[in-house]
Amino acid sequence: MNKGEVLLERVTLSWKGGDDGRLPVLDDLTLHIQPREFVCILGPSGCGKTTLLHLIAGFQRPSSGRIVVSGKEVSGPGPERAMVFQHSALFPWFTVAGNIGYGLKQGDRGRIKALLQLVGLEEFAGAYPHQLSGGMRQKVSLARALALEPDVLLMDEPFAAIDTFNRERLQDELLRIRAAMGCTIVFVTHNIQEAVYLSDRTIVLSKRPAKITLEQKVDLPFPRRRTDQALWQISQKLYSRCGCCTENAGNAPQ
Amino acid sequence: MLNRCQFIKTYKILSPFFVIVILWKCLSWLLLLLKGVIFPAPEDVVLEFVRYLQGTPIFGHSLAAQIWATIQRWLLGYLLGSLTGLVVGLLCAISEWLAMALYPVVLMLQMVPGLAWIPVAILVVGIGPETSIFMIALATLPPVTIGLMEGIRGVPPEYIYVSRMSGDTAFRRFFMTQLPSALPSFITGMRLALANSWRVVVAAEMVVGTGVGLGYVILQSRWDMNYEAAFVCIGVIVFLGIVIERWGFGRLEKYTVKRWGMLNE
Repeated sequence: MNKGEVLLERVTLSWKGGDDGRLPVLDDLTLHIQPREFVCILGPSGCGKTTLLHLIAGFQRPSSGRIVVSGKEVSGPGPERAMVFQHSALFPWFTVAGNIGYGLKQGDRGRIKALLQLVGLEEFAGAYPHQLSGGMRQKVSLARALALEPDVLLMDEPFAAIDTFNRERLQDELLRIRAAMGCTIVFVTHNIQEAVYLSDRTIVLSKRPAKITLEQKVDLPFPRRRTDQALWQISQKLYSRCGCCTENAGNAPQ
Repeated sequence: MLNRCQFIKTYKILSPFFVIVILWKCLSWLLLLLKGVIFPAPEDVVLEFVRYLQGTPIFGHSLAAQIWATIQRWLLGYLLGSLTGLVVGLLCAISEWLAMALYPVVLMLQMVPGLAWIPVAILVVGIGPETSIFMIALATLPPVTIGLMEGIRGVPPEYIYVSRMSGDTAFRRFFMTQLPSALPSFITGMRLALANSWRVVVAAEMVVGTGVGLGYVILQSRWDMNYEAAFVCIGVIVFLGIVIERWGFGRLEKYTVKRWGMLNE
């Protein structure tokens, strides 16, 4: 088995509703993510990016097709597939340390401390989430997910609600943490520059029902410079392609 | 002299009383002028209150005894009602099947005015202190159950996702995630229940009089033309209600939902 490998085989999902009683959301999606790969998923809002993450996390089941993570077919949520949510989803009634340790066995204080150090929030162990800034909350949310020691980390637009300056700092933190932890990351975003800066590979989804319209390798070594010419060129390419694929997604030729 | 901040604080506390005293005074003058009715003025009531404090009995018992009788009844009924309400709410939260059967019943109970239970209460427990306790409990139960249920139904799905990906058992999920998330709504339910039950206790004492209690005094004062006593009791009822609300629930919220930032101040 390949720890951290994610396989989506002909995954389809429809919701009830629409003209003929079903609303197709994901259409025959096949995707292979290598262990330790950082994949960004780009797409217009409402195209089913989050739904795709929920399927991998096991919060939802596909209508047809198979999802295999670390050699095991996904049948429900589990700690090997941890998620970081757009709005942190921290429990307000637990402190920062309590949130990070939520999925840990009781008394595992050493591990909580190590995670607090990893995200640089040691002084805030006893604070409540509402006392933190948005960026700090996302760091706690990341630490809570990492506490589960996941094979795959699923991140749903985690930095979308954060100002540009702090977003860039958080992106660099994430890359640093990724180098230390070595799990596969599937990162959903609608920010092209963010996707290119972070990922080994960026996948562009069409409008609903979502299909993969483009796969773009980003074969540049880390650490990257944001001003790098090569990075900029890849972004430009995605900008031009996404412009067309967001406008007439449904009937775009593949 | 007071600085600005102290002035605002003092104003906040005293100004409502000024409004009450002024309106009250105007009312008593108007009634005297237009209808020739002698309406007790605020100062008469305060004097009467001081007499009661010095130990003059009202209708056979001291003021303290009257208050204590009412509080005892209310407390018993409120505890009984909220405990039952909590159990029913938990049953509804645990099982969708039980919720389908029980929750509409609670919603129907909610629509019954507190005093409409009088004949039922008399049939079930007879006339006595139990009558008002029974009615208070019935007025308390629905808001408590509804507050808990709505709170649990409103748990953000992300909290459930986090719990599930952390490998929680349903038991742990319920107590660590759903219940705390439902707390603000549950406390609101308990507060509504307090207001409901506090109204019912006074009304019940008027109707199924047991010879002691603030509601009983108010009703008796009508026959005795001792209206000052009625006003004293109304004042005491308002004061006690606010104290219980502020001290009880204010404290509870301060150390839970407010501390956790789940409630905007």
